[in-house]
Amino acid sequence: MNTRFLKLSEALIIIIVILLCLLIIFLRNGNNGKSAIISINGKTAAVIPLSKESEHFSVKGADNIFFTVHNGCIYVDSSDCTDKICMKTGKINKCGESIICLPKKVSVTISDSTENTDVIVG
Amino acid sequence: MKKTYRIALSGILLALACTLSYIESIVPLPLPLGAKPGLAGIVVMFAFMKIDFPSAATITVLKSAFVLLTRGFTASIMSASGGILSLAVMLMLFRFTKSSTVMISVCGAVTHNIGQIIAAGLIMGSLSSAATYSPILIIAGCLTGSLTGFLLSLILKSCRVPLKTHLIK
Repeated sequence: MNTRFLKLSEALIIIIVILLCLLIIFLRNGNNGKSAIISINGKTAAVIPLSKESEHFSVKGADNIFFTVHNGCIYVDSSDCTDKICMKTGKINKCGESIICLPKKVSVTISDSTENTDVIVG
Repeated sequence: MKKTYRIALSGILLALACTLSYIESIVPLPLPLGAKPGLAGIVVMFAFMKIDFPSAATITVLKSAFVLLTRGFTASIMSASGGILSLAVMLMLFRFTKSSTVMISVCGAVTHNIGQIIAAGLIMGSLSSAATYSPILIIAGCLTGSLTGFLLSLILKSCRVPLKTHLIK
């Protein structure tokens, strides 16, 4: 019946999948974004330019979650949510990267335009 | 007798799964995005390999109920979506293919993470921003799945008693 340990073919599949994912991560790391779109419940709540430094600001509609823009990167510096995944994600600045805070339904996506758009680059 | 044995064993396994998932949630690990090793997955896999599918499904659902009580609604939805999807995939692999324990575990871990991404996307109302996490979570799933699969195969090796024949006549 079941072979107890990993077969060679299966190990190869796993390694190929890991390499493909690494490839996607490296290919995706493209241009530095110009703005960060902060959405609440899937709707754009604010577009923050990454060129301007600002510290510990919050967005209307999302309580007790604070963002900081520093050196062209945006990150969540504090949040009272339970899992703190938004804070663990760290700094982002490349187009298409995002931070999500599930308990608060807040997401931050980097965009390369400075206009107020609804388009999210996947 | 057989039925009570099965119920008692499922109860013990459920307690084990809840304990493992709770320990994981309070011990911070240096993994990206708060990824966890998914040690409770070992218990679920052990349940459907050694007991039967209904007890594995019950453990998965009741574990999500436990998460609802301890860690809140969103965490519970995430646990249930990942758990049910991964259980379905692992069961199909176990029944219809000759995959090894580690492979089943890896596929289970990866689909667990994918189920969570889908649930997160639906809760957020934006699937694409949740999907940007998928490559890193698939890699995390491969690594943690290998670990749990390896542990499970060690457990199965030392668990000499063929529970299944013990339980079903």
